Amino acid sequence: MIMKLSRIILPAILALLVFSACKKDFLNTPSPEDGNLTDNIIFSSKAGAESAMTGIYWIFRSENYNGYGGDPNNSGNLTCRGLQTTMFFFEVRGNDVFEALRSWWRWETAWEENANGRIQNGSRTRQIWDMFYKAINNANAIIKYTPAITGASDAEKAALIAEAKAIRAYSYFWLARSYQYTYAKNPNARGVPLYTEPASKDSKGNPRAPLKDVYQLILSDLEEATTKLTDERSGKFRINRNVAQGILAEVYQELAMADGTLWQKAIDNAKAARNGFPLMTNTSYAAGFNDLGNAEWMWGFPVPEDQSLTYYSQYSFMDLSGGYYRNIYYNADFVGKYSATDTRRALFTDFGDNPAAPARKWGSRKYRSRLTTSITGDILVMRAAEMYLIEAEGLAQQGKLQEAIDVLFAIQGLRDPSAVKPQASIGKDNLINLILLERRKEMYGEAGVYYFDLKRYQRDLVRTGNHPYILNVPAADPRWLVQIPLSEIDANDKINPEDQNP
Amino acid sequence: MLAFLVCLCTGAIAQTKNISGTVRDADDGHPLAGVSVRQPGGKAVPTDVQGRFTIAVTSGALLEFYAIGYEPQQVRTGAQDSIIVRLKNKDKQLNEVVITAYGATKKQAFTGTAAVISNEKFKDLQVSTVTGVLQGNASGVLAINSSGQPGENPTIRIRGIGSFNASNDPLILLDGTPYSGSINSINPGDVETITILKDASSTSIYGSRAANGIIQITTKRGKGKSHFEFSGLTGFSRRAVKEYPTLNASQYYEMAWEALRNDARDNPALLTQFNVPTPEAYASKQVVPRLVYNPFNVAAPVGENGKLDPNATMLWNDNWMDEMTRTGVRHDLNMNVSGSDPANTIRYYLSGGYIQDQGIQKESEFKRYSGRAKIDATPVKWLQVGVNSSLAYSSQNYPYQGNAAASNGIGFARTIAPIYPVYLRDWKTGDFLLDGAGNKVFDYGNNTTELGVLRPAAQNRLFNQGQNPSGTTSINPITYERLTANGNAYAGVDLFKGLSFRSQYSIDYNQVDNNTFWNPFYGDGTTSGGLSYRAVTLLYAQNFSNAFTYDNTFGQHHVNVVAGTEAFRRVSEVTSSQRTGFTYARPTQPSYGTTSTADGYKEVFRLQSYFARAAYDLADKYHLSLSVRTDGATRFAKDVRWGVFYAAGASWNLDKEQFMQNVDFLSQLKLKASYGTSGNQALPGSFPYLGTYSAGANVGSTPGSVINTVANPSLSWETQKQLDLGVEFGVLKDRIMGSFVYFDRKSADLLFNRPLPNSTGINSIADNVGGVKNTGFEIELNTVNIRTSKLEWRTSVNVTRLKNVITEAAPGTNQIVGGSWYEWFIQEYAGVDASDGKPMWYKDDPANAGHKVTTKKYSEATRYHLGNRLSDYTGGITNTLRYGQFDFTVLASFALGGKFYDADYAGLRNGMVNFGNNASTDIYKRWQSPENPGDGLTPKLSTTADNGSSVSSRFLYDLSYMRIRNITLGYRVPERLLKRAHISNARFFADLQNAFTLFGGPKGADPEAGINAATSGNNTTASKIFSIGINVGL
Repeated sequence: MIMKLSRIILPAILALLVFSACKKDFLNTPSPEDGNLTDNIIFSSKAGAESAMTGIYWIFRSENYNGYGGDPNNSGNLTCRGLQTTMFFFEVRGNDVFEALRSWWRWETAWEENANGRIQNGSRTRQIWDMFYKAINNANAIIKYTPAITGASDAEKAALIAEAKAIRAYSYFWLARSYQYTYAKNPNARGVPLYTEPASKDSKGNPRAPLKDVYQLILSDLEEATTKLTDERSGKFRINRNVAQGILAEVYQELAMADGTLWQKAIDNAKAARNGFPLMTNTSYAAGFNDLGNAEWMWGFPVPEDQSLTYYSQYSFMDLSGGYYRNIYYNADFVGKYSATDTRRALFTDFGDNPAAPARKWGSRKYRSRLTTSITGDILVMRAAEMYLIEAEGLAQQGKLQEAIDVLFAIQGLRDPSAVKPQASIGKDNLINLILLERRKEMYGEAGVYYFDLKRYQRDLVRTGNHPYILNVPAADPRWLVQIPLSEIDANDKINPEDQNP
Repeated sequence: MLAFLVCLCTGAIAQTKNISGTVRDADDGHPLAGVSVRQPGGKAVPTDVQGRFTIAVTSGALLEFYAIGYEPQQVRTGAQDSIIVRLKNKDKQLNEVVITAYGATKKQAFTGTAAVISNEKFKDLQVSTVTGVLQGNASGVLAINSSGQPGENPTIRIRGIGSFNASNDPLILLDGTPYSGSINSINPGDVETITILKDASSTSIYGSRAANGIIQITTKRGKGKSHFEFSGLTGFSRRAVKEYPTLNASQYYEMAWEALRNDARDNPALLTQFNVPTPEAYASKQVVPRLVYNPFNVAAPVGENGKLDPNATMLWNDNWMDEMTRTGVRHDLNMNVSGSDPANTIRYYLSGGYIQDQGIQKESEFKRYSGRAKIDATPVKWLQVGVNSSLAYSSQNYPYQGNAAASNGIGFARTIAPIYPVYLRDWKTGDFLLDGAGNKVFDYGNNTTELGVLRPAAQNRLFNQGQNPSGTTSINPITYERLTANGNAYAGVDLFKGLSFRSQYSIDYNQVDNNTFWNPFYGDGTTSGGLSYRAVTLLYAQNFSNAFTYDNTFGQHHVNVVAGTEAFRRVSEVTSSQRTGFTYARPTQPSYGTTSTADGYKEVFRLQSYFARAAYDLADKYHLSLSVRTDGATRFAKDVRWGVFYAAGASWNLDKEQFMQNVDFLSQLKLKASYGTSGNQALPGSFPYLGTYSAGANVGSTPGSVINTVANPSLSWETQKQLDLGVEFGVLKDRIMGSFVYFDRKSADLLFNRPLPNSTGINSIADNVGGVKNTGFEIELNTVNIRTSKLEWRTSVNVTRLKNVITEAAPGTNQIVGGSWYEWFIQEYAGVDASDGKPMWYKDDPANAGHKVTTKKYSEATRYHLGNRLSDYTGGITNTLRYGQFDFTVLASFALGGKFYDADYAGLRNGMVNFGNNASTDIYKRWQSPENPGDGLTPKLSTTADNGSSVSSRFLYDLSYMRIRNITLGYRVPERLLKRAHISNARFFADLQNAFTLFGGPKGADPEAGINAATSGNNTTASKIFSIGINVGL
């Protein structure tokens, strides 16, 4: 009897169990909100949009493209990490700064056409391309979704959109200068693909837009940014009006090579940009270039110790004592261009003549890690000295030689107490060359100004002195162009092998 | 009968005497009661409960043994008066059971395709993991290791690769319930059978979970009298193939000299810059300063003739590979107790195992402690309950290997030039430099004897300065501790006639605790002031299934219907913390650092399913099986969450037909066919259809986030359709048994990370695009070649033919329809230009379509489809010989076709471009002059980059290989010797794993380099292991 009963009760219990296991909510319970930051969370508030903005600066500062531990097929490269390495890439392609221990940056210094160089199969082009386009896509999302956020005034929303547009313009400016010759050479030359909408499921690749279209977008973005932004910002890593003006000054400096009337805009923006950012003292100049608090720095990225870039950091290569690789040296010809009384000259360290390795004569103490415990230093992106020199160059180009000399001497006279003010009688071309030389002397190691000046003036690179890789790269050489990554050509229907840079 | 005749003749003399003996079960040795024993035509005597009998016979007479359910057996008596007879279970042969999803079926009724590996087959092979068992033992299964680190899981693929970005891992069922833990936590000693279910009809009832096939692991269960077994072995291991041959110090110096001379020949400006008259003088003068370290006792070791100074002797000559590797030692101990009560209502199996396995790389080690308890009870006739639980703890020391880390031990030892010492030396005298305490100091390439004081950068070693894994692997420990607990309980009730219900619940818990420490002074931690990292990964998986089964026979009709539901829930989470800024080299815990970061994330997944299956058998001749299942997965959005999968299978036992009864040679013949669908949802992440941001992109103290994925709300099931056609046969009384199966597995709407142009800012999006088909056939053949009283020789062979064909190309990729996913799409090497020794590649001729021309610019080279990573044929051959008390087994596995890319070798073929990196001795085949062009493939030496070692067909080799996986020799101690010690069986054995490898690739290359058939990161590879051991049963 009991057995009979249990045979009836049991199935009932079992049936109950079966049904309880199929509760409707079983599949609806896991909630994305527990672990996934969706775009509708981001663009629900001002704080969210600001967080998306900060993320873009983080990309510039730290994103690891094809770096150590990155893509398994293309990794192990210490020279690919963030904007600092993009800038330094162009530094070592000049004549003043080079790698001399045959370690990291050696291939870049030697202009070798290998994986570390500019070629389509290499990691450098991915680093530049992916980083800026990732920044552009993130900026496009902010531009598109910010109007719908809550808790922000119209002016605040306009400022957020303007900042995103400035980031987008800055990114396209780098891409345009890297993947094509200077604008003046041929404004109709194939530039880079343009995107003004964030990527979606239906995104398709765009073709290479002509340089003039690229610059048109850059200008409209920056003109908007300079009107909608103010000089206020939550941190020095963000683009405010001054920085936007600084970028615009750089853009007009590039474009004025084709249209001389634009020099005035370069001058005006450079002057406005540096307002509030006095030139650093010589003591600060000798303090290691690692502190975002430096009053002259207009824009840079803070690197606290827990976000240290360790051996990726430029300090790892350039800092003679706190660095890890300590393999960056300076051309004796370049060091010889400083007068003996120039305070910047004192930062060079003479290792003496070494017949077996003549390149290893000059080191520099300009860049030093802020900490002794780890290789850490803030990253400089823009400072007032560059604005002075853009202004001086513009004035010289306009034929206002004396005014140009006055601006130039603001730097020369500060850095070298015994400097002699140049005479206007040296003529326009000589003055321009003096200004360009001053850009190298003041800003070596920073952002590749010598490389881009050669490109801008369409001059040959002629390596001299004790440079370990003596080269002569004519202005028309295709090696001035970075090749578009192969992965882009593979995935983009509108950019085919025949659209590749030579 | 001849088949089972055991001859014990010893020259008989005809006289009557009493013979006594014991009859046992041949499988588990339990004594058989009630066996009738007689001389042919004589009077039978039965055996008692202990299986004993005594009978009076004439010496040399035949004895016959009969028992229900056992094969009858004849034994010829000899001079001895005591014999032991083992009877073979009859059902074993004919009613062999195939464990299927949610049930078991008789082998002859099974309509699907399964490979069964029984304990019988692998117990004598000394494998320490379940996955090791799969290698070479089953058709259609690839189990490929990509590392020699003990305790690592190999990649397992059943019938190729059907999914591009979703998981291709098969479902593991442990005693009928899905298992989410690490497969290597299961002790193979506990395993009774491994069944690999491959076709749609046998897997479809598991729906999407079985899209990549099922590996069914059935553990042992108790049976009969209490039984104790012990096995233990000790082994020694080293690399299965010899290391790549590389240059020694004097060869290295001479090659460096030649590269420098060529530099100066190409660029005469160097002569003026360095003030030397000739390229030879430049090379002799520059070679020491350029290599920085000079291990010779002369200042300019290479003369202007390019030869090493004959008077030069070495101040040091360290072998880094010896420094980084060792002979690994391995211990493996297992024991178990099993049995049941006489009424067979409670069956138990308890086991414990311990394994210690040292890798070849120093410090690399794996230890596992495992235990299992399994109890099945039938308290009343209509109720079955059982619990099976296991616990395994393992610890693994995993020094860097197979990655790009500068401290990767094997990579370091293989690629460092042979001129550098392990310890700091006086460069003039070669004497060790000692620290303040008088100890030798490791040479990190940039250090001095004083802690923290670096040398001038120009004196740094060119190779991986700041690193010396010989010094750091022991002080920078990387460990993984894993705890896997698995519990599985079931209850089954027989309800009414043939109707039963079974409920099964299981839980898996997996915990991985990873600790990494970098000391602040040397190696990886120098730039961050040391680092301590701790990550704890937890996995909780629950599975609950409930099913009704109706099974009944009406005359010749047999019906089996299963219907039920299943719910699966998995939660995995990772918590990690890290600190840098350490003051001391120890302690290693994060708390002692200064600057901290922490991370944590959690993933959830749920799957809900309903399923049904109906099987019908007619007269054991015709079999039909239909199944349907629907799965709902949380990985997809609500509207596209459910997928329905179905399958049908049929088989026909032709040998049972009347018209086949006269075909004597044929003992079995079965035709079978199945077709069905399945689906795949196993993308990484919880909600791959959402557009997401990743947080943590902080700048200073300001929080930041960046776009991570783009939304795709329509993301849904990947579908698979699989057709199987097969035949199974047995001939000559099953002395030859085999099967042939053709399969065609099509996948469509693939879950694919569709590449977007990088310029969109997103590299890929999870989407349903593209299609692929995996077709091929599987052959299994088992033969008994010789079977005499003393000698038995069995062979089993399995061969799989697999072809992966793209049926629809995914946009944004280089796929072509008709090609394979696994094609090498790389640059084609064209050898060196005989006139200048520069490497060349092919490119499409822009002027003449369809033709190729050579180029010296690597960036211009066209990529071509140059062969497949997957072999055309794979398989294994096992030969087992038994002679008297000896057994001898050789298992070989092989692969035919396919292409293998040796990136590690390529790293040794970069000429002298990177001073400080070693080179293969194949460098001697270099181009030296137009008259002396070498092998036509090896470029001229130089220190400028020539891209010669960049990815190209230069390092692509035929993947065909054969590996002798196991050679085992065993000796079973005669039972009469054991009887007094109350031991029922004992076997001694010696085993050699991976004894030989036949492969056409470069010397030093191991062909088993992961599923991608490419070496990378100088990973550790398979080991050759010699072991000896013993199995004992009480």
